[in-house]
Amino acid sequence: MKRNKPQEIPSWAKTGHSKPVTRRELLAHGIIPFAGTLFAPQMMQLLLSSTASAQSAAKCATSISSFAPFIHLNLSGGAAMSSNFVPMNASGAPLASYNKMGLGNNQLPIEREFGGGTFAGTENGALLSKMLEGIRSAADADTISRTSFIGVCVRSRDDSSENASNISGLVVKAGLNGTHLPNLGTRSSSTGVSDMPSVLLPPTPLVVRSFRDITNSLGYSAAIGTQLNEAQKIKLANLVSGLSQQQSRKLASLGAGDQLQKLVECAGIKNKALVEEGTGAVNPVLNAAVGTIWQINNNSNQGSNDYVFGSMVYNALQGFAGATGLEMGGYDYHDNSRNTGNTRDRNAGVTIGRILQTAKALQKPVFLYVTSDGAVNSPESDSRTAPWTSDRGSAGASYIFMYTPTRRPAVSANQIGHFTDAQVADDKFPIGNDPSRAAQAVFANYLQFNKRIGDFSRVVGRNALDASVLSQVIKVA
Amino acid sequence: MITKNKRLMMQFSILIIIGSLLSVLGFNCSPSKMYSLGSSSNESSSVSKSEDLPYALLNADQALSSMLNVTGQTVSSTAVRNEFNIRNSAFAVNSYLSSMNAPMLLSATSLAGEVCNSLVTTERTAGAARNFFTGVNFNTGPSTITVGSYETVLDKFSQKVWARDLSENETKLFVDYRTEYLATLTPAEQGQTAKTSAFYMSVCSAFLSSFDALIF
Repeated sequence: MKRNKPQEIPSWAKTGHSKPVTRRELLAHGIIPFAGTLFAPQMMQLLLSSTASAQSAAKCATSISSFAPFIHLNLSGGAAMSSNFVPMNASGAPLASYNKMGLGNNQLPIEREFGGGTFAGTENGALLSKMLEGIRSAADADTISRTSFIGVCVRSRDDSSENASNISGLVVKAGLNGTHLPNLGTRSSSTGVSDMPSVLLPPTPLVVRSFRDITNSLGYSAAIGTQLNEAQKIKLANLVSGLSQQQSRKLASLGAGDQLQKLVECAGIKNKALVEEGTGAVNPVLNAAVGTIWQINNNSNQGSNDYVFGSMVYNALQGFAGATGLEMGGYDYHDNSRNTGNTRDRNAGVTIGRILQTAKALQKPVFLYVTSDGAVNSPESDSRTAPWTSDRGSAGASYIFMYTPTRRPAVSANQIGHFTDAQVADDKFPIGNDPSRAAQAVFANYLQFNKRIGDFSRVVGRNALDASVLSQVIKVA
Repeated sequence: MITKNKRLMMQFSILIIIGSLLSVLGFNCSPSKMYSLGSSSNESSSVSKSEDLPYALLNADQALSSMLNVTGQTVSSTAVRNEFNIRNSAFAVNSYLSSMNAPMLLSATSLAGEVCNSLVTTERTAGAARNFFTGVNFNTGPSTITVGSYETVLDKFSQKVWARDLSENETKLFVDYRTEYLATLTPAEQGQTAKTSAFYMSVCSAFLSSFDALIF
């Protein structure tokens, strides 16, 4: 190979500008909008492969995460979360009235489900909680009998993607990782759904708009896909991996750079392993029961919502993907009627039910976190089907569902925090006025669900809820 | 004794004042590790973000622009745009190196493959106007690829994409790749011109999707 030859002028230099090389220069050019984050040790786990080569295995291999699959469903727009799940007051009794929450007076019928969860019950033969109706339509009685529910009373900002309710960064740091795929999301945002991270920014999620996005991420397409055979694709993946390993060595001399260097190395190694392995394992329709639950088959549109959600849930539950965020839109539904809201709530319930039923089909545990941005308001009325007329984030709530194949997870209560007789989440309760702190409470319950609550302070760091608050918000026994 | 105590008190006071000044003035000299992201509670909603690295990861748009620029292509083909549309979701939405993962690398290589396919298609008939594949005979099969012509191509790409010479280790990786690629071909394929184009397309893809090509 020739050496010491005169260098040609690189393309970027022909523009008349020097190549921006430092963080400050990039910031000055507006190329980098934010400073970066490092949690390479967690990303390392995310990238590790049990199928890596023997040499690589010593450096990168890990087993499937011991943490339960984590799925986050975000109902974008401000769903009536606290009018499906019925929040109680500080004494655990019904509020004096629910007439601003579209549920009428305090003689509201309560339907208990999931071992004690309080939902808007039946009136005139119809279940008022359309979410519960949807859940029951998609999850069978056996699944429900092995599921626990916790309602979280927390105010949130209406119609906003800035509620810091996302805990996928915390979940990844705790140790959840996918064997084939990174975190998954449905929106091109830092969290994969329209919210903000609580405490920790998660690793970039793979945005899934079609099942094809998943298969694409595990192999080559276009020119490489058609012009190279399988052996050649593996050789190419190996070449890119080798080059990236060599080139990332410059990071080792930087602060925390050695971790990043290993991260890049393992990305390359994993890259090669993925090409070798192919995409068969990640297709949900290969499991007949899962295909039935999501009503998809080989002829289905891979960009349909059912196929997208089904494949994301399937891969999350199998441990192939890390923390998984699903988003359903259209929940800013205060259109002076109850019809739109009821339809959307039922759709959300069906999705929740399908997730739980998929966990049963695969015999996997799951921790499902359901959020929204704000809530809705009805005119003061004794009617239990009053229309939704405006936003009302002070009456916000989020949900936790936990399923295990063997038995219903034990909980000490079905509610975190409480509402006041003003029909709002009590902002005096330690997490009642802050989605980020409420998210920490959810994360604490996720850790407890995994019998790892001792890791809470280590993972959350200096902003962690203190012991006295934790004792009030951890409901998983 | 009193004088000595006063002197000690004065020294102690001076130390406290200096310490206070340092702590007040010094805070803004150190990059903050915490950024508020707009929740109602600044403390609990702050997201830890440490970053002192002089490198940043390209996002999808930047990566495609870079690939097109360094290969001298001013317009992306329909095939490139199609591949970009199905690959861009795997790229990071931020610029953090820690966002790099295996699906991202795979997508970068696949996107680069289509960019390189356009380049090979253009240069195959460009004759003396070639910028990268000088000396390559696209009218013969891969068995006729000479070490000399291959090294010339490698040098061209190294300079234009990475703005530097190849390292010894990188050179070895590319030399090994050529050997391995040829070993995957049947005798008939060794003589197929399409396999020569595919080989150089893949070499170009490796350059465009390696770590150094995906960072600033």
